[in-house]
Amino acid sequence: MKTKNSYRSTKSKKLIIFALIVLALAITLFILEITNTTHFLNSPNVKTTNQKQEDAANTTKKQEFIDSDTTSNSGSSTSPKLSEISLSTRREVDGNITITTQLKNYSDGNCILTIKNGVDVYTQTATVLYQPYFSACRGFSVPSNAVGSGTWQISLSVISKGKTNTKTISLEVK
Amino acid sequence: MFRKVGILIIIFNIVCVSLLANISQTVGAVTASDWKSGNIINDFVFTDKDAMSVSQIQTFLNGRVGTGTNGIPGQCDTYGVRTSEYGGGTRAQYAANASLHPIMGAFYPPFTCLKDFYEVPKTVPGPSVPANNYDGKKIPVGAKSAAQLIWDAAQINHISPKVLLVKLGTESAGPLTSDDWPTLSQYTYAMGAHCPDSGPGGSANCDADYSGFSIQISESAKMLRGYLDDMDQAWWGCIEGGVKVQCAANRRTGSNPGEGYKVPYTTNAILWDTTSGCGTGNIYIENKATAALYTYTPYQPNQAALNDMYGIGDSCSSFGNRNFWRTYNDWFGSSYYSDIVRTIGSATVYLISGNNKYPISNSHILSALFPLGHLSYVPQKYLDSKVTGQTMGRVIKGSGSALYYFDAGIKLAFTSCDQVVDYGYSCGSPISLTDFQIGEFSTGPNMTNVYRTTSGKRFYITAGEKKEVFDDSSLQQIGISLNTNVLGEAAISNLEYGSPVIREDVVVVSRETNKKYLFQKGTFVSLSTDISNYNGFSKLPNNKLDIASIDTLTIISDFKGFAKDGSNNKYVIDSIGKALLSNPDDWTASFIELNDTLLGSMDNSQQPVNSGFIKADKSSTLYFVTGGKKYSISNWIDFLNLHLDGSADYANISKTTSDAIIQDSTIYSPGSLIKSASNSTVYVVNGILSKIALTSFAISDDLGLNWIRIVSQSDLDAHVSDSGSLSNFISCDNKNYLANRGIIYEIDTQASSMYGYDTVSYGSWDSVGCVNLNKSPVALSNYSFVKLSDSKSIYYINGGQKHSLSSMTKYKNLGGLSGNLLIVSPKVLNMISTGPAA
Repeated sequence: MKTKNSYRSTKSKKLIIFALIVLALAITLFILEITNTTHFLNSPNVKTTNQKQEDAANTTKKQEFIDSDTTSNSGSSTSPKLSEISLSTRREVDGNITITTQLKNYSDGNCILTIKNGVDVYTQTATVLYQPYFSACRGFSVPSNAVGSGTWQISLSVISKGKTNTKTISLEVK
Repeated sequence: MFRKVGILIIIFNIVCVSLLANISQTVGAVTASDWKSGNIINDFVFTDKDAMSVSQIQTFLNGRVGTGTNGIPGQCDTYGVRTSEYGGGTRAQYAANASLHPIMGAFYPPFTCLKDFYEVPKTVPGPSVPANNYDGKKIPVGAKSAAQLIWDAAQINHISPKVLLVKLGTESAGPLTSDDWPTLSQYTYAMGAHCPDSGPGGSANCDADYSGFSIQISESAKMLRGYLDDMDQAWWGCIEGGVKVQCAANRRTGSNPGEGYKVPYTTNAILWDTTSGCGTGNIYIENKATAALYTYTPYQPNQAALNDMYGIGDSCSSFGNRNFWRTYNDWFGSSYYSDIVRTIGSATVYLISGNNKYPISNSHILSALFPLGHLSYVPQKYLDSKVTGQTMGRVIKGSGSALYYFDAGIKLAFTSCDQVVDYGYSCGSPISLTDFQIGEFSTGPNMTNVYRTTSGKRFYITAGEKKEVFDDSSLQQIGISLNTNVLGEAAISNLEYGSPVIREDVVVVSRETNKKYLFQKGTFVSLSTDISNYNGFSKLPNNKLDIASIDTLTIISDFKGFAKDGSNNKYVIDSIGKALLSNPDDWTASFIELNDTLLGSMDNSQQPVNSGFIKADKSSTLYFVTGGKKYSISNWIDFLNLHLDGSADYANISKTTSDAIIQDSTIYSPGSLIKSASNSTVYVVNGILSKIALTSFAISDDLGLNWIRIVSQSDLDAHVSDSGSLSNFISCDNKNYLANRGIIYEIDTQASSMYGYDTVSYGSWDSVGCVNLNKSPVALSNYSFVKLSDSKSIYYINGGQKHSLSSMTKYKNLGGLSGNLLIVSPKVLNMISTGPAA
């Protein structure tokens, strides 16, 4: 039979055990917190090195933006020039001719490709494909028999911002 | 008690630390080693337009704002009350002070953060900035929230909203996603769309027709979609050797900056930074999304940029694509799936290649595919977007004609279609992988039909079967080259076991059970442990095989040590070799025929097997073998008494051999007196297994048999009762004897006449029993006088009768001497007819 004293003794032991567990947990959490393993106590505003680095880069970028002439960055008033169109051709394995373009300072527009050989005329159109460094007409693939063999006069007209620039090259097609 | 508590606390803490450490690990940021230049983002992730709803985008923006310098997460500093990160007091004070930013000039709160920003969508390019609610204005009619604008652009162009958010977070000043006091101009060209690098020093020269947040978002999405779609056009890239590659004109050569279309699934030269002086690095672009990113931002981060993931690296570092990748991963988790994927809801793992998904049927194949990356968890709709191909086997191919076997991250080229068939596959149905995926496997030697596993087994692979190889000689015997590759055994788990490649007269040990088998005559003969350790087998070549290999052939169970050769000579195999049996039927009817060469190679044993006496190894029981049975011998005396020659010879045989002989009862040496416990009848053992009931102890006394043994009823019953009766007259080896007082005396013709034994019947005794009886060296005929031991009366024997003598004088007159006076038992005396006194 359990006496009253032994019952108290058991209860005291349980309390001590509970207190020890709580203390151990607290110490564990404290260690994890100070080693930055957890962030239960530290506020999220306490940033990691990475976050600080990212913040610094963003702050700098915004400063540069504020310090730049953002208004003058709008280049629509400056129409593209003819010299900013380059045109080249290549013969594909299947005999077709691919005509590639590089459009410097073009943001958008339309391209009209005209190929003449004597009285034969071949036309294709494409939109401008914007790329940061240079844009391009969205590709021209021309059948080799489009205007027969001989010297092709290849003209590319690029219409952008209400202005048309045309560049012409010759290509000997056999 | 407290010690137990201490242990509990320690365990508890370990568990806590482990759990928290795991949590910590799962939220870790990307590092340089995570970067895959050719796979910045997966196509599906990139184009998953439903990755976020409008409300999810709004929630995301609400959470991101204020996470930058001096901000409070989730709060917009609408009135610029917080300290300016650029000096000049509060942000409002800084903004108002034009001297601190003369180009932009003074600007004033309220600042409208992205989460609160609304704009009337600009759908047609034009110079005006569309109406919006910046600066605390009312939300204009027809305006949409930033979240809605982003979502709309994502839906129209099939680009993930997450991608647009990340682009916004990396392209815009601030960036707008976190900026808690943005200026209106930050919204104007937020995505850098239509901002060619044609300004001074390659700076952005934005097209005013595309000013405004809404059109920046929609154009950016449109551009990315355009790149993705245009990549399929013939003019996007060049065809070389039948494969689309990056055009030479787009590679960096000389003064060519190397920009332009970036072609997926091929190697592209990508600049390190905006200055061509830093050169280019080749990247195999694994998917369209990555090609689109490199087309949009044609630079790749160098190692310095990757090592300084959140910093600026060195003078040749670029950050656009690094930041996109890093930010995506920081915000939304992994931006790409590996080629090995599964969903959370299903355990089926697939290999993804192009538009196909191939189920992976087992963990071994999964392990062997490790060069293709770790397992990624993907949404079901990603899997649904792929065509299900055949279940993964071990044969793969790229765009070329070569077929490869793969294991452990190595690919080995098959040398012929037949070889593919040998491995259980078909040349017509390999798993097609991209050349890049093929290239991820290390190149090993060509496949061989002999396959050695990492665990040391060797198989000959043919016709869809794997035949385990016993040894080199076995292979050479069938003319197969010894060339082999060492690979995992699991890689050929698809193949059934075929009959092993093995030569005759060798011992095979089962890997699983360690049981040994003799291989001969195309079958396996199972050997018991004891017999297999005998010289005849232990000196044979031996090797291990899988039990599955052994099971492919007939197994003759349990060789018991009885063998016969082609000439029907029969042997018992013992520890020395083989012992020829003169009466094999005494042992068993089951002899297994072994190769003459094998039996011929065994030494001839000199053990006395033909004596019939045997003892099993490690057993003390002696047996006598006869008639196909063995009989235990109850004791050493019996054993000795059973020998006719007086020797103590026996043969040691294996327990297996001994056990194979049918066991019968215990035998007792002839002449033994036996009885059962339950019956008083005593028998005299006569021969090996017969008995004669004893009618009088006087007879057994005269025979010298006086030790009665109690035996089991079964042993007693095993001895057949002899129909004859036992008397003092016995016949041994064709001679007649009289048993008297423990000694038998030969009854020759003279004695027969003297004692009147001409008409008596003699009981025939077993020769072994005879040996064990005491024989008098003096025949009965030498005794003319008899007397009882306890009587003074002497009888004269003559004419078939006994005659009493009246005096010693008479005795002496008749020639009485001590040498011719026989002391007889009363029974013997009574058996002699009585005549008149002499």
